[in-house]
Amino acid sequence: MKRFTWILIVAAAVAAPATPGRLAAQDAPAVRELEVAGIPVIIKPNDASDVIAVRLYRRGGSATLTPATAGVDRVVGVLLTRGTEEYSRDAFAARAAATGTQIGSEAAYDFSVVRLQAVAPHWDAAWELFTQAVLHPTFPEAEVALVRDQIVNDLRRRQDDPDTWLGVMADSLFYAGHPYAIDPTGTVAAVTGLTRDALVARHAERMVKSNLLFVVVGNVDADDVEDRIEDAFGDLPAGGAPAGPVTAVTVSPAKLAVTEREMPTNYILGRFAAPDPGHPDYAAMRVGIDILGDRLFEEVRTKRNLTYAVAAGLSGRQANYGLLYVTAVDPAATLPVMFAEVERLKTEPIPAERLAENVNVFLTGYWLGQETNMGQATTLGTFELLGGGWENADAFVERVQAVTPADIQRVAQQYISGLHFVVIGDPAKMDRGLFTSL
Amino acid sequence: MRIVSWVVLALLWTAPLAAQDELPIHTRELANGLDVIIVENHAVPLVTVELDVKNGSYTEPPDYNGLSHLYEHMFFKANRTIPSQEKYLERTNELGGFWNGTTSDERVNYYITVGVDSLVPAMQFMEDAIRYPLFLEDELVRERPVVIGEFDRNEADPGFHLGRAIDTLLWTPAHFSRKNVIGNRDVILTTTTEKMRTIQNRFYVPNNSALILAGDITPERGFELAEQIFSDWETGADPFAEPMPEPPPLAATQAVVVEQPVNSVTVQVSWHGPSVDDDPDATYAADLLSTVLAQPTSKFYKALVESGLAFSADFNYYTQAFVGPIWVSAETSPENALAVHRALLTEVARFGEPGYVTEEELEAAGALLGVQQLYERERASSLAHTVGFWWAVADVDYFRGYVKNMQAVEPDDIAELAREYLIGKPHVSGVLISPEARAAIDLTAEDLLAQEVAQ
Repeated sequence: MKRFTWILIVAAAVAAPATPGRLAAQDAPAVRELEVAGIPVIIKPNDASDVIAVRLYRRGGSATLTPATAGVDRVVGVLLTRGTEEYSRDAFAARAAATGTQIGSEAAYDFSVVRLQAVAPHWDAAWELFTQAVLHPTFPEAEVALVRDQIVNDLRRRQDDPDTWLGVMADSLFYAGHPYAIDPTGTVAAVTGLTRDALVARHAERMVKSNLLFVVVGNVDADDVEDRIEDAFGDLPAGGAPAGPVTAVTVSPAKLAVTEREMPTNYILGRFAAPDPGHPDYAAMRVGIDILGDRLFEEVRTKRNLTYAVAAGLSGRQANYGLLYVTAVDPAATLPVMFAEVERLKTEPIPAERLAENVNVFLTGYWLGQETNMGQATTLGTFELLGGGWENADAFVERVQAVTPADIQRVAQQYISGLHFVVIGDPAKMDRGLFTSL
Repeated sequence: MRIVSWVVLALLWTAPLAAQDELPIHTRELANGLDVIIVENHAVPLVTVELDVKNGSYTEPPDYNGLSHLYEHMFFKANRTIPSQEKYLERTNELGGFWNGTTSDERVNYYITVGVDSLVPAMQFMEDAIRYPLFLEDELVRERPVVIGEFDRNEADPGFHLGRAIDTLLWTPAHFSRKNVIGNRDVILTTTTEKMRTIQNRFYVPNNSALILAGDITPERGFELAEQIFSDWETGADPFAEPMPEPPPLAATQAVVVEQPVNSVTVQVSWHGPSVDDDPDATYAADLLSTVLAQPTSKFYKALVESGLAFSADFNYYTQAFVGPIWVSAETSPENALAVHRALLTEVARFGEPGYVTEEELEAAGALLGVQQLYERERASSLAHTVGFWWAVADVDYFRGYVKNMQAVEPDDIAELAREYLIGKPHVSGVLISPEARAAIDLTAEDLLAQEVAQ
């Protein structure tokens, strides 16, 4: 068992001049890392509020799916609260409402999650509901049919919103041939074909000790949490080797895919292969992308008024990507300005003062992500699974502070090229040579 | 297998949490009329500095429609201290700030979140922006297409077109500007710096504004800084000496079918709901009802969703000082569109029946809202926006008593809400559907109105 005092590392991280100042939570708690009955558990007791956040990760996402099972974890996740051995759907919903217990699920590219949010006065009831949902779901046939129809409708509706559909198009183009080509949120064909038996089998397959990770943050006693997990989850099968890391994306030549739609503007998204959260280059990429985003806002929107929405971004997947995004009436005028800023990032060193300011902004964003216990649990879980260990949630702040102008130039040159662009809008306005020129 | 009944559970587990009465919100009014609100939360070393102004589309006649929003964009440009938007952006980086602004019907807000060490310069930064904007002609001209870009994005969303079509009928074309936040393209493209000054002089005065400091700050320190930095902002004339017009009553039920390239069908029915000043009890009843009906245990959910008619269905109320809308909506397939419309109207008509919403359901929903407020309190940065919203449309005391008053709602209050605002009252029905699906089912607005007659 390792002990980690979260506050010490963070305090060191914010000691630089002009960073967000003193730490308010002076008695900030230590993080405990345990193994309970063969299940890794990260606990951070925090009595700043009554709120308790629990995230139960199941390792493995798209790589554990086939085209025929795309979306299965999403469907299972919704059904966990639609009937259990102890509670009918309505009884479960009533008890959850009356105690303010919130149980939800996420199906992502690298893992799936069942999350619990509760308050200390109702912790016993909330934990019982959570264990019922996770360990004793009954998947009633009527609810399976209802949820399947709802998710199929949602999948169809994705096309209606340009931003949502742009993301689907980008995943399809960028991850062609990669395990992430299988969308964990599902396809209409796959979800339509999911049977109750398939859902039951999938859930059993995922609920083995080797596959699980608990993260608990909030107003709890760590020993009590340990006991609860042991009592409820101790009898689960051990399971085989946990899902391993997915391969990196193979960098391929620049591409453009256009979907025609009559709209007042064009939605444009370009992706490039980027370092993952555990990679040594991730911090420099993070800082570089933040600065690029600021410059795009200034040059494309503020100075030239070519758009309302322009951005640069960096995702947090194991096979990762960065992005450029804009909605533009005139792509021929807009993209060259964006590309010029990318070139500037590659060729001009960032002034030291500008870099220090960016670290300040980063720290503000970091703390905003720590406002809630669920936010803290998400950070710890993400770093544990994708960032080389939960300790790096804080060490990452130090890495950001250590980034140099030369680091940013290097990662910009190394990664930001060969973008795969997807567009929804007017094909006549899309110059393929321009889009593939970066 | 043991099945626990809903009623028993509700009785067992609905004890309200004591912490609901301890909202960490402190208020004081400066001599110039500026309301200062401190939201204390020391969880992380950040403070959000927010300014709220009672402005928005409800203050806009047609020739100003969209200008509260354009003004909000101009807030982030040159002022007496900062010569240009470029320098403005540099300054926000120096402060390490996350910043933004929003415009809605009855409130405009601006905020920046910074580390506690940057609190004072952040407050001075916001003071310069709200008191001393320059409204440079070239900056205004350059910002117009940016706002139009936002307009374009709205119009790329099929749901926007349904909302606009329904709202035009619900509030009448003559009054629509007062409910149309994004505004009018021509007005935006032709606006002048004089109009910006007109808005500033009338609405951007301390006696029409609130300063909110949320996060790692004590009330004493917050009030002291507010006094130091904002007390010499001169009081202005009462912006509402000439009151804003109330929405005209809806004269008759109407219907509209909106064609967009969509893969699902949305059915919506909207009514005029309560105004918070005139009928606060009804606003609590409406909000609590929306929570009850969202539960899969509700009769509404069972009739619409569990029956297989719709993929989802909900009931909503938007609290406003000048008539908040109530609407029910559902997602469905083309073949079920008319049946869902009928079912929505049928369920609303039942809201007035004894037992449609039980005491147990209300009690559980009240408890749920109490816990949800605890969750909301964790995030001081967003709680600042919530408090600012309630300050603008009602007052801070309304928010302080929100959960307690919701927990006091009884079945008769729900029935009264339904009778007063919904049952037998004029409304607007709308359907969002693709041209192909519409042709396949031959749907017209008259089909929807015929169902009204049948009711």
